Amino acid sequence: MILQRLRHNAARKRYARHPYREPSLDALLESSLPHSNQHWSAQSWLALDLETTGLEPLHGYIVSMGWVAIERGSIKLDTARHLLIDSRNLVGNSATIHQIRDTDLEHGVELGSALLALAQALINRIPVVHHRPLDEGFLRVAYQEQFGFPWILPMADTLALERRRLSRRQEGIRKGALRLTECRRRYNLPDYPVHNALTDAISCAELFMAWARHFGGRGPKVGDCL
Amino acid sequence: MDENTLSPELAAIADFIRHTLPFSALPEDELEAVVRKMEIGYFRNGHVFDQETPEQGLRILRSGAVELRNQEDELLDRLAEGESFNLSGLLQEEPGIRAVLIEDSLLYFLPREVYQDLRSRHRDFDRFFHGQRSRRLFRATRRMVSPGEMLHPLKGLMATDLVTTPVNATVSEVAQIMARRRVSSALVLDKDQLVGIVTDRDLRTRVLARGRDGRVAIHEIMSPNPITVEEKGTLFDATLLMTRNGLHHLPVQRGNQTVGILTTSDLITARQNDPVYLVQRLSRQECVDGIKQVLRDVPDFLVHWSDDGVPADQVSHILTAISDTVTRRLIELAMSELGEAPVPFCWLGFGSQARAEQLLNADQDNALIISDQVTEEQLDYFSKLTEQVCTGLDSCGYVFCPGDVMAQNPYWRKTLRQWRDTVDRWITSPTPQSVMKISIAFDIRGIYGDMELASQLQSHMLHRVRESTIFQAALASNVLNESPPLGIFRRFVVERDGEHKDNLNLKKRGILPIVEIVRLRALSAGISEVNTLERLQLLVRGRHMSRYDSRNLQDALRFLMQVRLQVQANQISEGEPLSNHCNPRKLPKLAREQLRDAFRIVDTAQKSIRTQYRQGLG
Repeated sequence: MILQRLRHNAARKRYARHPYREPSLDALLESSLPHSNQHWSAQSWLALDLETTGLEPLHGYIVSMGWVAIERGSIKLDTARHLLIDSRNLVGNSATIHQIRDTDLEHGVELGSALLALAQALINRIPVVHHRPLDEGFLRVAYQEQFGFPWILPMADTLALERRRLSRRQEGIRKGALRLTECRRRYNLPDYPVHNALTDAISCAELFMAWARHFGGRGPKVGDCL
Repeated sequence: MDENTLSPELAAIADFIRHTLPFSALPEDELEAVVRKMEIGYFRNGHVFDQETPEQGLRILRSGAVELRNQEDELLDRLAEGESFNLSGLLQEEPGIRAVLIEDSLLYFLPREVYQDLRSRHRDFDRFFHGQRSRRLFRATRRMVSPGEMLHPLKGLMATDLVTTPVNATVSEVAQIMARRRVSSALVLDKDQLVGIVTDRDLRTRVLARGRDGRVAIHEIMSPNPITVEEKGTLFDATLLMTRNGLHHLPVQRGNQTVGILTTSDLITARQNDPVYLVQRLSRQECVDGIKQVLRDVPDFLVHWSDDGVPADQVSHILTAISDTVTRRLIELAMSELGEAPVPFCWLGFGSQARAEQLLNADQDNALIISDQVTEEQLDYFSKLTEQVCTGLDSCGYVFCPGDVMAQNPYWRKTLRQWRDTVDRWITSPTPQSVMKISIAFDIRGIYGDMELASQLQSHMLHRVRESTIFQAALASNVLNESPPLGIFRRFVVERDGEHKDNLNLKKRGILPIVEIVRLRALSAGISEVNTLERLQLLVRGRHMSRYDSRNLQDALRFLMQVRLQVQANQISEGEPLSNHCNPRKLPKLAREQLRDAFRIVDTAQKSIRTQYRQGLG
């Protein structure tokens, strides 16, 4: 946590020198860091999912984003957002992206606006994703390229949490057992027929709650989730 | 960018909600808005929602299952995926009610303000909540049956003549077997172990649609390691498994052995045992034969209910609802033939039908009140109508009344004015014979037609009986006619000879004496309710009877009715003719003791009547 705080301060100072700062990014950096010994349900979370082309942040693009907030241990659907990214201005559009995009162009927003909307939603909330390296990599690159903003937020990763829980049980972890759908089945969560960034964000949020409710004792503290 | 103008695609959730009650009644655009106002929560098996729960509103089960239990921890209902409950609404009906999760569950939650707002704006949506009262009635019959129904063992429901195939058979061999046996699935066995299942759909999607031929080995296209259910599981378990996993075929296992298979249509058939469906089906029949056809299943239901421990008074309620429906339908059918009635009338049920205390071998006791406007020429219509309905009832198994208390008998078919005169005559000059004959006419309930006529006659009766101590005494002496079948040393007095040698008549010696005692008490107290258990409760409330005596009589009556129900269920299972006779020696020891207690209570109640009406008894 101390390290986290130092990195956070460094990032804030670095961004403070930026010539064209965005107010919502400022606010995000100014918002206080979570207390690691607070009960999980007293903290606000933002379950988040990105759809990308490819797995390489430097060579792929974010196609859409979905998110939903968890407040007081319950998912608030009025905070749910599903943004399709307008890819017309992106360099090196591939045909495959176009195929997805052409029909949806009227819904598309520019990546920059989408990132600012996300930053707004993240104020005082901790992001939750399933498989952190991917989402974090894409967000880090995108925020850096668009705003010169250093992405340093703490994140909860349901895949890592679930791996930790399963390995504590001393059973071998089957191949595929950590996929979102497989994890959900272990908690009696339903299969969703459609997959897009928003349903996957909701799926991830539900998994996170289920994980927390099964944590044992009086439930996890914020520090246990990171 | 304004966040609020973005429309979130919550399709997966909207799709689910759209198919649940009462949201199916909402317009599409409204649904989208509702979903945005919902919250999602996850709770573990054992979690309890009750009046202390801070957030009150509608909770919809997305996955998992919940039990509703009352203060006494009795199970009221069990809800599964797609069903919903609103605790604050339920609390108004049933204080202390709680919802207990019996599985880990994902719940959609709609805050109270939101659905109150929807209720105020959408009539169809509102009706679901607004009808709390009628829903409760509906539930009251369902509640008693549907847990039992859903807790039915799978044994009787599954098909046991299994179609199996070895793992190395070819697709066309299996398809031929399936075609020959006319089934939609086959079980794939490897050394007697179930390794897979093949359904019509697999043949379609994994063979035909892919252009593969019939020589493919079955294990290549089967669904391996199918989900199964244990034989000792219940219909509830099976339904849950199948809906949750989207299965149409579910093999049933006993240990490692496959002993049966369940299909979705088996589940639907099982659900049709619900009396609600039965009543619905009855009211759609177009002829007497159709009604008879539907009624043929009723004895089997009675056996099921008895096995499930459905209380006898609930069984009687259901059976009375069935005979009411039959009566109404027969009247409608007669009227479609004879034309509309020229003046208002009311079809009356007497005796056990009026009291909602029927079992299966009830004969018909009915009467007709015709509006005073009727002319001499119009009377013929009612003679035809009643004859047709009474004959119809007889052929449906509600046999002609041996005492001729039937609407087709002109004595029991009168105008309201004539009825009043008749009642006055009964009451001013009662004879033992007349009292015995007419006493059942004081349990009266309108079944069809102008209910105002029935309630006018009833209030006239109540008024007259209440002021006539002579008639009350006559009723009292009638009550004392049958004494409980207990001899000295509390031995049972059984029939000495004849068809029912060594048996005792539960109805005549136990149930009817209680019914008559309670009727006398209720009539003298001016209580218009006719059901015996309800009369007993009202007598306490009006301080006409001590709580202790009332409880005792209720317990005795419930017990006697329960024994009679079991007796009838046994008779049905054994294929014996129905009767109300039981051989006390065949009862388990405890039941025999309880039977003795019940008869003693009847005896005590009779003694107290004797003391109270001594002067009038002559």
